[in-house]
Amino acid sequence: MSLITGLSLHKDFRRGPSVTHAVRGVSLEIHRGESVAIVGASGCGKTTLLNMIGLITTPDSGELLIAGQNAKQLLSTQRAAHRSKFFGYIVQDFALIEDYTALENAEIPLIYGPERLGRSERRRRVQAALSRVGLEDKTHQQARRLSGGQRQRVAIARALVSDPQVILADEPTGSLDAQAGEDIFRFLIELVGAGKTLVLVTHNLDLAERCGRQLRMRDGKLV
Amino acid sequence: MTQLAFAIRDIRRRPVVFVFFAIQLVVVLLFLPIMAQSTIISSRNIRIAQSMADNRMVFFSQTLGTFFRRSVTPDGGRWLSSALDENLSAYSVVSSIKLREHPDLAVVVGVGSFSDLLHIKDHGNMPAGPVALIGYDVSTLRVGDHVSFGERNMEDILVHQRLPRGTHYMKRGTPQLLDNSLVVLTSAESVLGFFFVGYHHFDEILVNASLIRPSGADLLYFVSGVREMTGVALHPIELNDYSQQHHGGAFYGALFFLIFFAITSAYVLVGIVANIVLLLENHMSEYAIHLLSGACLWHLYARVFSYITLLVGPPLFLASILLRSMYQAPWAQLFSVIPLLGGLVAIIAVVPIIKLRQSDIFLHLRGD
Repeated sequence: MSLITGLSLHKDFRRGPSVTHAVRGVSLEIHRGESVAIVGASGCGKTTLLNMIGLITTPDSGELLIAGQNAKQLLSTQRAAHRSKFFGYIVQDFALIEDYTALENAEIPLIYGPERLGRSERRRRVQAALSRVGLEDKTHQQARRLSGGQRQRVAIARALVSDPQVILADEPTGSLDAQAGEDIFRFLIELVGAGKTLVLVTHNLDLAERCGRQLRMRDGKLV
Repeated sequence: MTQLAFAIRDIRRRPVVFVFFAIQLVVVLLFLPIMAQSTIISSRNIRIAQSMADNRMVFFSQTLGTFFRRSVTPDGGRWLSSALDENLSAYSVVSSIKLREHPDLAVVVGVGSFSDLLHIKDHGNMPAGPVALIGYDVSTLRVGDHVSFGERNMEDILVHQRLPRGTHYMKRGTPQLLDNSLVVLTSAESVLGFFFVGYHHFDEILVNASLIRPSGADLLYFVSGVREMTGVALHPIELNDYSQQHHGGAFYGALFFLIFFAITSAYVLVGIVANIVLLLENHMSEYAIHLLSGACLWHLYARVFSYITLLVGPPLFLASILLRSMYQAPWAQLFSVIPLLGGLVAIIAVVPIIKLRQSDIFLHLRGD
């Protein structure tokens, strides 16, 4: 049984009279422990598809099953709980709060997690996640004082801190130099080796080819 | 609690803006009720003065300097007593007396024709001699009780009846409510007998004297008599003229400032709402990170409500404390401030909450 199943997913964006058909009838299956790259030109609907999988965007039509559960039937609090516990997100621009420390940034999913952890336990888990990405000495550094690679590592620590099953990464190396990008990608692949599922959106075909499977998109469709 | 901590963090990011609006709030929350109360009081004073217009009352001011050279001699005291009790339609009050058994109760000793002002029921059945009346809100005494009155000669005076709510009299042109007072009706002459320092109380009787529908001869008799007996030069003031000028002026002045502070309050509220909307726009990407990490929209609402409560609460409580300490404003009690705080927070929160609901917050995750 697949971990994530999409059946004929559609998503349109309306701005005034114009309609953009971002995703048109996409069906897919993603299995536990695999790495899937979604590739395609800019504006082909990759990020929209990723956001639908991650319960950030709701499809206009179609079925989305997350671990066998129909996403349509989830309450908003359940969707939020899934975002906290089931998925870990990494985005191109890191999405860090600039005046928060690395520790405070990485702690956020635990604040909203269903486990209702105490502060000391949260801090312990965040320390462990930051150590895992090699930032144990930067825990109290504000995000704005970190390099691009370090910032992306904080974002990865935040994505991993609640031990999610699926890592959703949207152009995770897009804002990094080649070496830092390579380091981050290698780390993500190591996570797949450790049992995580990776869904990666990228322009970079070299990175995509190093994933277990590639899904190519054009004009909102899988080709 | 977590959202409160985030709201405190929001404040620490822009403390100057927060303090700026908090100070503005203190000013409007302090002066708006003061001006509203002043408007109500001056309007009530005009209404009361108009209701007494038929009495064509005259009260007096003293020529500066002469009052401090006054000396109410026994002869002067007797003359003043007979003027107020017998020769003129006049009254006066002593309000500096306290009862030993009820030290917190305001006491108004009315002499002369004071009882004519009070619209007392069955006036004719009043017992002879001093009699006590209690204001509508007095709870420490009941009709039928006796109060010990006096120092030199103590006398137990019967509390004869309770005054209707809102009963008032005029003291030097200003209405005085009697709802929380004990009124002792007696003669000016008897005040001499009750107290060791009866002549001291006569100073008060002198300055608080008012004549009812006096003729020119009455005025001349009183003013020249006081001048001769005490050395104090009195200037008669017609209550009806004074009321139009003084209370009318006070009313329009208070109304002007009430409107001014109402408009200022509206500007401050709009400023606060605009500031919070700006705060939301600046924090959208942060909110997106929170939503991405498992927050619901209601977490963001709680953060906005916490911020507004922290902004509005301290100025409101400070204004309430100042109003209670400076103006004895009974309506500024803590229990009445809490619903007001809730209402203010709700009003300010409407636009920011709509803004949050209508925004596609996740769009702010992408730099492009």
